[in-house]
Amino acid sequence: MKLGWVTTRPLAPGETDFEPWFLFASATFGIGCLVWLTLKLPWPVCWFRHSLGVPCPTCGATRSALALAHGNIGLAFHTNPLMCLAYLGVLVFDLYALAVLVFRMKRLRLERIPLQVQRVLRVIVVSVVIGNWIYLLCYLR
Amino acid sequence: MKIWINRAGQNLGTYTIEEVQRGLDQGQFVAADLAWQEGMESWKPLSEFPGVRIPAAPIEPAAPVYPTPPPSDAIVPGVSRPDVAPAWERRPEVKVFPAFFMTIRDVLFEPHLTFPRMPVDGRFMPPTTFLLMLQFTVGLISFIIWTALQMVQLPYYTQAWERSEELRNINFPVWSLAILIPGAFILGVAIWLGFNFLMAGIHHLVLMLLGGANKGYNATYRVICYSYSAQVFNLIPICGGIAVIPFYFVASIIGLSKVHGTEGWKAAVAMLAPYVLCCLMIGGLYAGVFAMIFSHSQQS
Repeated sequence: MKLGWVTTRPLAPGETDFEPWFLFASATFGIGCLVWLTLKLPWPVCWFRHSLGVPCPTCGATRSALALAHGNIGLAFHTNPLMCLAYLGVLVFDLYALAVLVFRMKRLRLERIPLQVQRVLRVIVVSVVIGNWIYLLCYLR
Repeated sequence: MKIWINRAGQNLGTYTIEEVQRGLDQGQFVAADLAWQEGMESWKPLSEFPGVRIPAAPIEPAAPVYPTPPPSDAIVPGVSRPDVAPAWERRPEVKVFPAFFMTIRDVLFEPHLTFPRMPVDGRFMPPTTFLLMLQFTVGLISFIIWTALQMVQLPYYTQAWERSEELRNINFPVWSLAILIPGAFILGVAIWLGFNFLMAGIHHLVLMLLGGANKGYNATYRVICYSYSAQVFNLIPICGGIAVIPFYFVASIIGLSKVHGTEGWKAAVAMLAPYVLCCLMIGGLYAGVFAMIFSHSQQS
Protein backbone atom coordinates (compact mmCIF):
# COMPACT_ATOMS: atom_id res chain seq x y z
CA MET A 1 0.00 0.00 0.00
CA LYS A 2 1.22 3.50 -0.82
CA LEU A 3 -0.02 6.82 0.55
CA GLY A 4 1.92 9.88 -0.61
CA TRP A 5 5.55 9.29 0.37
CA VAL A 6 4.62 6.56 2.83
CA THR A 7 4.77 2.93 1.73
CA THR A 8 4.10 -0.28 3.59
CA ARG A 9 6.85 -2.78 2.82
CA PRO A 10 8.59 -5.81 4.35
CA LEU A 11 11.89 -5.31 6.17
CA ALA A 12 15.02 -6.18 4.21
CA PRO A 13 17.31 -8.83 5.72
CA GLY A 14 19.53 -7.14 8.33
CA GLU A 15 17.60 -3.84 8.17
CA THR A 16 17.00 -2.00 11.45
CA ASP A 17 13.64 -2.74 12.94
CA PHE A 18 12.80 0.71 14.34
CA GLU A 19 9.38 -0.16 15.72
CA PRO A 20 10.44 -2.29 18.76
CA TRP A 21 13.19 0.22 19.62
CA PHE A 22 10.78 3.15 19.50
CA LEU A 23 8.19 1.21 21.52
CA PHE A 24 10.79 0.20 24.14
CA ALA A 25 12.33 3.67 24.47
CA SER A 26 9.06 5.60 24.62
CA ALA A 27 7.37 3.11 26.95
CA THR A 28 10.27 2.93 29.43
CA PHE A 29 10.69 6.71 29.38
CA GLY A 30 6.97 7.37 29.77
CA ILE A 31 6.30 4.75 32.43
CA GLY A 32 9.54 5.66 34.27
CA CYS A 33 8.57 9.34 34.39
CA LEU A 34 5.02 8.58 35.53
CA VAL A 35 6.26 6.27 38.33
CA TRP A 36 8.81 8.92 39.32
CA LEU A 37 6.12 11.60 39.53
CA THR A 38 3.67 9.29 41.32
CA LEU A 39 6.30 8.64 44.00
CA LYS A 40 6.64 12.45 44.30
CA LEU A 41 10.38 12.24 43.76
CA PRO A 42 12.15 15.55 42.99
CA TRP A 43 11.44 16.83 39.47
CA PRO A 44 13.49 19.56 37.77
CA VAL A 45 11.77 22.96 37.54
CA CYS A 46 12.06 25.13 34.44
CA TRP A 47 14.90 27.51 35.26
CA PHE A 48 13.92 29.70 32.31
CA ARG A 49 10.47 30.37 33.76
CA HIS A 50 11.84 30.38 37.30
CA SER A 51 14.32 33.15 36.56
CA LEU A 52 12.36 35.23 34.02
CA GLY A 53 8.74 34.57 34.89
CA VAL A 54 7.82 33.69 31.28
CA PRO A 55 7.39 30.15 29.92
CA CYS A 56 9.98 28.48 27.69
CA PRO A 57 8.82 26.64 24.50
CA THR A 58 8.44 23.36 26.42
CA CYS A 59 6.80 24.73 29.57
CA GLY A 60 3.73 22.78 30.57
CA ALA A 61 5.06 19.54 29.05
CA THR A 62 4.92 17.70 32.38
CA ARG A 63 1.47 19.02 33.29
CA SER A 64 0.24 18.21 29.78
CA ALA A 65 1.50 14.62 30.15
CA LEU A 66 -0.15 14.27 33.56
CA ALA A 67 -3.44 15.65 32.22
CA LEU A 68 -3.28 13.14 29.34
CA ALA A 69 -2.52 10.33 31.79
CA HIS A 70 -5.75 11.28 33.60
CA GLY A 71 -7.65 11.29 30.30
CA ASN A 72 -8.17 15.06 30.23
CA ILE A 73 -7.22 15.80 26.63
CA GLY A 74 -8.72 19.33 26.70
CA LEU A 75 -6.58 20.42 29.64
CA ALA A 76 -3.52 18.70 28.14
CA PHE A 77 -4.01 20.59 24.87
CA HIS A 78 -4.59 23.91 26.66
CA THR A 79 -1.44 23.46 28.80
CA ASN A 80 0.89 22.93 25.82
CA PRO A 81 -0.75 22.20 22.43
CA LEU A 82 2.42 21.06 20.65
CA MET A 83 3.55 18.72 23.42
CA CYS A 84 0.01 17.32 23.70
CA LEU A 85 -0.01 16.56 19.96
CA ALA A 86 3.49 15.07 20.27
CA TYR A 87 2.35 12.76 23.10
CA LEU A 88 -0.71 11.69 21.11
CA GLY A 89 1.52 11.08 18.09
CA VAL A 90 3.86 8.92 20.16
CA LEU A 91 0.87 7.03 21.55
CA VAL A 92 -0.51 6.39 18.04
CA PHE A 93 2.91 5.28 16.82
CA ASP A 94 3.31 2.98 19.84
CA LEU A 95 -0.05 1.36 19.09
CA TYR A 96 0.99 0.93 15.45
CA ALA A 97 4.38 -0.51 16.55
CA LEU A 98 2.66 -2.95 18.89
CA ALA A 99 0.24 -4.01 16.14
CA VAL A 100 2.94 -4.63 13.52
CA LEU A 101 5.06 -6.56 16.03
CA VAL A 102 2.20 -8.74 17.24
CA PHE A 103 0.68 -9.42 13.82
CA ARG A 104 4.03 -9.42 11.93
CA MET A 105 2.74 -6.87 9.45
CA LYS A 106 4.63 -4.83 6.85
CA ARG A 107 6.25 -1.60 8.05
CA LEU A 108 5.48 2.01 7.18
CA ARG A 109 8.52 3.61 5.59
CA LEU A 110 9.12 7.04 4.05
CA GLU A 111 10.27 7.31 0.45
CA ARG A 112 12.81 9.94 -0.61
CA ILE A 113 11.02 13.26 -0.08
CA PRO A 114 11.66 15.90 -2.79
CA LEU A 115 13.98 18.77 -1.75
CA GLN A 116 11.29 21.43 -2.22
CA VAL A 117 8.94 19.53 0.07
CA GLN A 118 11.75 19.11 2.63
CA ARG A 119 12.28 22.88 2.66
CA VAL A 120 8.56 23.51 3.14
CA LEU A 121 8.48 20.95 5.97
CA ARG A 122 11.42 22.69 7.72
CA VAL A 123 9.61 26.03 7.55
CA ILE A 124 6.43 24.42 8.90
CA VAL A 125 8.29 22.76 11.82
CA VAL A 126 10.02 26.02 12.84
CA SER A 127 6.76 28.00 12.46
CA VAL A 128 4.78 25.53 14.55
CA VAL A 129 7.38 25.62 17.37
CA ILE A 130 7.41 29.44 17.35
CA GLY A 131 3.60 29.58 17.15
CA ASN A 132 3.30 27.23 20.09
CA TRP A 133 5.71 29.38 22.11
CA ILE A 134 3.73 32.55 21.30
CA TYR A 135 0.60 30.75 22.51
CA LEU A 136 2.37 29.79 25.75
CA LEU A 137 3.62 33.37 26.23
CA CYS A 138 0.04 34.63 25.82
CA TYR A 139 -1.87 32.07 27.86
CA LEU A 140 0.54 30.39 30.28
CA ARG A 141 1.94 33.31 32.27
CA MET B 1 6.72 2.81 -9.60
CA LYS B 2 9.61 3.39 -7.16
CA ILE B 3 12.07 0.63 -6.34
CA TRP B 4 13.64 0.41 -2.87
CA ILE B 5 17.34 -0.55 -2.77
CA ASN B 6 19.04 -2.01 0.29
CA ARG B 7 22.65 -3.03 0.88
CA ALA B 8 23.74 -4.99 3.97
CA GLY B 9 20.72 -3.74 5.93
CA GLN B 10 21.30 -0.10 4.92
CA ASN B 11 18.54 1.58 2.94
CA LEU B 12 20.02 3.35 -0.09
CA GLY B 13 16.79 5.05 -1.15
CA THR B 14 14.04 4.78 -3.74
CA TYR B 15 14.66 4.92 -7.48
CA THR B 16 12.87 4.50 -10.77
CA ILE B 17 13.73 1.46 -12.93
CA GLU B 18 15.78 3.73 -15.25
CA GLU B 19 17.78 5.12 -12.30
CA VAL B 20 18.45 1.58 -11.04
CA GLN B 21 19.66 0.49 -14.49
CA ARG B 22 21.89 3.57 -14.76
CA GLY B 23 23.22 2.89 -11.22
CA LEU B 24 24.08 -0.69 -12.21
CA ASP B 25 25.81 0.44 -15.40
CA GLN B 26 27.85 3.08 -13.53
CA GLY B 27 28.73 0.85 -10.57
CA GLN B 28 26.58 2.68 -8.01
CA PHE B 29 24.66 -0.56 -7.40
CA VAL B 30 25.83 -4.17 -7.56
CA ALA B 31 23.96 -7.32 -8.53
CA ALA B 32 23.86 -8.48 -4.89
CA ASP B 33 22.01 -5.35 -3.67
CA LEU B 34 18.47 -6.13 -2.60
CA ALA B 35 15.46 -4.53 -4.28
CA TRP B 36 11.76 -4.31 -3.53
CA GLN B 37 8.77 -2.68 -5.16
CA GLU B 38 5.06 -2.59 -4.42
CA GLY B 39 3.34 -5.90 -5.06
CA MET B 40 6.37 -8.04 -4.15
CA GLU B 41 6.21 -10.36 -1.14
CA SER B 42 9.90 -10.17 -0.25
CA TRP B 43 13.19 -8.55 -1.28
CA LYS B 44 15.15 -9.91 -4.23
CA PRO B 45 18.76 -9.37 -5.38
CA LEU B 46 19.00 -7.00 -8.34
CA SER B 47 20.34 -9.94 -10.38
CA GLU B 48 16.89 -11.58 -10.04
CA PHE B 49 14.85 -8.38 -10.29
CA PRO B 50 12.50 -8.26 -13.33
CA GLY B 51 13.27 -5.61 -15.94
CA VAL B 52 16.85 -5.02 -14.80
CA ARG B 53 19.90 -5.98 -16.88
CA ILE B 54 23.17 -6.76 -15.07
CA PRO B 55 26.24 -5.38 -16.92
CA ALA B 56 28.52 -8.04 -18.36
CA ALA B 57 31.64 -6.95 -16.47
CA PRO B 58 30.61 -6.18 -12.92
CA ILE B 59 31.97 -2.87 -11.67
CA GLU B 60 32.99 -2.39 -8.04
CA PRO B 61 30.57 -0.14 -6.13
CA ALA B 62 31.68 3.52 -6.20
CA ALA B 63 30.96 4.22 -2.55
CA PRO B 64 30.55 1.21 -0.26
CA VAL B 65 28.16 1.98 2.56
CA TYR B 66 29.38 -0.50 5.17
CA PRO B 67 31.92 -0.46 6.64
CA THR B 68 32.86 3.16 5.99
CA PRO B 69 36.40 3.33 4.64
CA PRO B 70 38.94 5.36 6.63
CA PRO B 71 39.49 8.87 5.26
CA SER B 72 42.86 10.01 4.05
CA ASP B 73 43.65 11.77 7.34
CA ALA B 74 43.13 8.50 9.20
CA ILE B 75 46.10 6.94 7.49
CA VAL B 76 49.24 7.50 9.51
CA PRO B 77 52.49 6.13 8.07
CA GLY B 78 53.78 3.19 10.05
CA VAL B 79 50.57 2.81 12.09
CA SER B 80 48.08 0.18 11.03
CA ARG B 81 44.54 0.70 12.27
CA PRO B 82 41.65 -1.75 12.19
CA ASP B 83 38.89 -1.02 9.69
CA VAL B 84 36.18 -0.82 12.33
CA ALA B 85 36.25 1.58 15.30
CA PRO B 86 35.67 2.26 18.14
CA ALA B 87 36.97 -0.91 19.76
CA TRP B 88 33.56 -1.55 21.37
CA GLU B 89 32.31 -2.54 17.91
CA ARG B 90 34.97 -5.31 17.90
CA ARG B 91 34.20 -6.76 21.35
CA PRO B 92 34.33 -10.42 20.28
CA GLU B 93 37.97 -10.10 19.18
CA VAL B 94 39.21 -7.39 21.60
CA LYS B 95 37.26 -8.59 24.72
CA VAL B 96 34.83 -6.45 26.69
CA PHE B 97 37.01 -4.61 29.22
CA PRO B 98 39.94 -3.73 26.90
CA ALA B 99 37.37 -2.68 24.27
CA PHE B 100 35.62 -0.46 26.84
CA PHE B 101 38.79 1.40 27.85
CA MET B 102 40.13 1.61 24.28
CA THR B 103 36.82 3.12 23.14
CA ILE B 104 36.95 5.82 25.82
CA ARG B 105 40.57 6.66 24.93
CA ASP B 106 39.96 6.71 21.16
CA VAL B 107 36.75 8.75 21.31
CA LEU B 108 38.20 11.37 23.66
CA PHE B 109 41.67 11.76 22.17
CA GLU B 110 41.31 10.62 18.54
CA PRO B 111 37.71 11.34 17.53
CA HIS B 112 38.80 12.45 14.03
CA LEU B 113 40.31 9.00 13.43
CA THR B 114 37.72 6.95 15.32
CA PHE B 115 34.34 8.14 14.07
CA PRO B 116 35.05 7.83 10.30
CA ARG B 117 35.61 4.11 10.87
CA MET B 118 32.43 3.64 12.94
CA PRO B 119 29.95 1.30 11.22
CA VAL B 120 26.47 2.74 10.74
CA ASP B 121 24.62 -0.52 10.28
CA GLY B 122 21.39 0.33 12.05
CA ARG B 123 22.12 -1.64 15.24
CA PHE B 124 21.29 0.19 18.48
CA MET B 125 22.53 -2.44 20.91
CA PRO B 126 26.34 -1.86 20.79
CA PRO B 127 26.23 1.90 21.62
CA THR B 128 23.45 1.33 24.18
CA THR B 129 25.38 -1.39 26.03
CA PHE B 130 28.49 0.83 25.98
CA LEU B 131 26.49 3.71 27.45
CA LEU B 132 25.01 1.47 30.15
CA MET B 133 28.42 0.10 31.13
CA LEU B 134 29.91 3.61 31.15
CA GLN B 135 27.13 5.03 33.33
CA PHE B 136 27.24 2.07 35.69
CA THR B 137 31.04 2.25 36.08
CA VAL B 138 31.19 6.05 36.51
CA GLY B 139 28.15 5.99 38.83
CA LEU B 140 29.58 3.26 41.04
CA ILE B 141 33.05 4.82 41.37
CA SER B 142 31.53 8.29 41.97
CA PHE B 143 29.30 6.80 44.68
CA ILE B 144 32.33 5.25 46.39
CA ILE B 145 34.36 8.49 46.16
CA TRP B 146 31.54 10.68 47.47
CA THR B 147 30.68 8.25 50.26
CA ALA B 148 34.33 8.27 51.32
CA LEU B 149 34.37 12.09 51.23
CA GLN B 150 31.19 12.25 53.32
CA MET B 151 32.63 9.81 55.86
CA VAL B 152 35.15 12.55 56.66
CA GLN B 153 32.19 14.78 57.52
CA LEU B 154 30.43 12.07 59.56
CA PRO B 155 30.73 13.92 62.90
CA TYR B 156 28.83 16.85 61.32
CA TYR B 157 25.96 14.60 60.21
CA THR B 158 25.86 12.86 63.60
CA GLN B 159 25.52 16.20 65.34
CA ALA B 160 22.83 17.30 62.90
CA TRP B 161 20.93 14.06 63.55
CA GLU B 162 21.12 14.56 67.30
CA ARG B 163 19.99 18.18 67.01
CA SER B 164 17.07 17.58 64.66
CA GLU B 165 13.96 16.22 66.30
CA GLU B 166 12.22 16.12 62.90
CA LEU B 167 14.80 13.74 61.44
CA ARG B 168 14.70 11.38 64.42
CA ASN B 169 10.88 11.19 64.32
CA ILE B 170 10.79 9.86 60.71
CA ASN B 171 9.51 6.28 60.82
CA PHE B 172 11.68 4.83 58.06
CA PRO B 173 12.28 1.06 58.12
CA VAL B 174 15.83 0.27 57.06
CA TRP B 175 14.78 -2.79 55.03
CA SER B 176 12.85 -0.54 52.63
CA LEU B 177 16.22 0.72 51.38
CA ALA B 178 16.75 -2.73 49.87
CA ILE B 179 13.79 -2.01 47.55
CA LEU B 180 14.22 1.73 47.16
CA ILE B 181 17.87 1.80 46.08
CA PRO B 182 17.67 -0.86 43.30
CA GLY B 183 14.24 0.49 42.30
CA ALA B 184 15.54 4.05 41.97
CA PHE B 185 18.55 2.71 40.05
CA ILE B 186 16.40 0.80 37.52
CA LEU B 187 14.02 3.74 37.18
CA GLY B 188 16.93 6.13 36.71
CA VAL B 189 18.46 3.92 34.00
CA ALA B 190 15.11 3.68 32.15
CA ILE B 191 14.61 7.46 32.24
CA TRP B 192 18.24 8.06 31.26
CA LEU B 193 18.02 5.73 28.25
CA GLY B 194 14.77 7.32 27.10
CA PHE B 195 16.23 10.80 27.58
CA ASN B 196 19.27 9.83 25.55
CA PHE B 197 17.09 8.59 22.66
CA LEU B 198 15.17 11.88 22.86
CA MET B 199 18.27 14.13 22.91
CA ALA B 200 19.81 12.25 19.99
CA GLY B 201 16.50 12.82 18.17
CA ILE B 202 16.63 16.57 18.86
CA HIS B 203 20.23 16.84 17.61
CA HIS B 204 19.33 14.79 14.52
CA LEU B 205 16.28 16.98 13.86
CA VAL B 206 18.43 20.13 13.96
CA LEU B 207 20.94 18.49 11.63
CA MET B 208 18.07 17.57 9.27
CA LEU B 209 16.78 21.15 9.35
CA LEU B 210 20.26 22.31 8.31
CA GLY B 211 20.33 19.73 5.54
CA GLY B 212 23.37 17.98 7.03
CA ALA B 213 21.83 14.64 8.04
CA ASN B 214 23.20 12.45 5.27
CA LYS B 215 22.69 9.27 7.28
CA GLY B 216 19.89 8.03 9.48
CA TYR B 217 19.05 8.60 13.14
CA ASN B 218 21.16 5.58 14.09
CA ALA B 219 24.35 7.44 13.06
CA THR B 220 23.55 10.40 15.35
CA TYR B 221 22.54 8.09 18.19
CA ARG B 222 25.84 6.20 17.95
CA VAL B 223 27.91 9.39 17.99
CA ILE B 224 26.05 10.75 21.03
CA CYS B 225 26.40 7.45 22.96
CA TYR B 226 30.14 7.09 22.33
CA SER B 227 30.77 10.80 23.01
CA TYR B 228 29.44 10.29 26.53
CA SER B 229 32.90 8.79 27.16
CA ALA B 230 33.68 12.29 28.46
CA GLN B 231 31.76 11.27 31.60
CA VAL B 232 34.94 9.60 32.89
CA PHE B 233 36.24 13.06 33.84
CA ASN B 234 33.50 13.15 36.48
CA LEU B 235 35.70 10.74 38.42
CA ILE B 236 38.19 13.54 39.11
CA PRO B 237 36.87 15.16 42.29
CA ILE B 238 35.91 18.85 42.33
CA CYS B 239 37.22 20.07 38.93
CA GLY B 240 36.62 16.96 36.78
CA GLY B 241 33.06 17.95 35.85
CA ILE B 242 34.35 21.07 34.07
CA ALA B 243 36.31 18.94 31.59
CA VAL B 244 33.26 16.84 30.68
CA ILE B 245 31.55 19.63 28.72
CA PRO B 246 34.32 20.56 26.21
CA PHE B 247 35.36 16.94 25.66
CA TYR B 248 31.74 15.86 25.09
CA PHE B 249 31.00 18.63 22.62
CA VAL B 250 34.29 18.36 20.72
CA ALA B 251 33.95 14.57 20.34
CA SER B 252 30.29 14.73 19.32
CA ILE B 253 30.76 17.62 16.84
CA ILE B 254 33.72 15.88 15.16
CA GLY B 255 31.77 12.61 15.22
CA LEU B 256 28.64 14.08 13.63
CA SER B 257 30.60 15.87 10.89
CA LYS B 258 32.64 12.75 10.04
CA VAL B 259 29.81 10.21 10.22
CA HIS B 260 27.26 12.30 8.31
CA GLY B 261 29.94 13.63 5.95
CA THR B 262 28.77 17.18 6.56
CA GLU B 263 30.42 20.52 7.31
CA GLY B 264 31.78 21.08 10.81
CA TRP B 265 29.61 24.15 11.42
CA LYS B 266 26.43 22.19 10.73
CA ALA B 267 27.48 19.53 13.23
CA ALA B 268 28.39 22.23 15.75
CA VAL B 269 25.02 23.95 15.33
CA ALA B 270 23.20 20.62 15.65
CA MET B 271 24.97 19.90 18.93
CA LEU B 272 24.93 23.39 20.43
CA ALA B 273 21.68 24.86 19.08
CA PRO B 274 19.35 23.34 21.71
CA TYR B 275 21.54 24.80 24.47
CA VAL B 276 22.51 28.07 22.75
CA LEU B 277 18.87 28.72 21.83
CA CYS B 278 17.93 28.72 25.52
CA CYS B 279 20.77 31.15 26.32
CA LEU B 280 19.83 33.44 23.41
CA MET B 281 16.20 33.50 24.47
CA ILE B 282 17.22 34.47 27.99
CA GLY B 283 19.62 37.11 26.61
CA GLY B 284 16.93 38.48 24.28
CA LEU B 285 14.36 38.69 27.03
CA TYR B 286 16.81 40.40 29.39
CA ALA B 287 17.71 42.87 26.60
CA GLY B 288 14.01 43.57 26.07
CA VAL B 289 13.46 44.14 29.78
CA PHE B 290 16.46 46.47 29.99
CA ALA B 291 15.27 48.37 26.89
CA MET B 292 11.84 48.84 28.46
CA ILE B 293 13.35 50.07 31.74
CA PHE B 294 15.68 52.40 29.85
CA SER B 295 12.89 53.87 27.70
CA HIS B 296 10.69 54.36 30.81
CA SER B 297 13.50 56.14 32.62
CA GLN B 298 14.08 58.36 29.56
CA GLN B 299 10.37 59.30 29.42
CA SER B 300 10.18 60.12 33.12
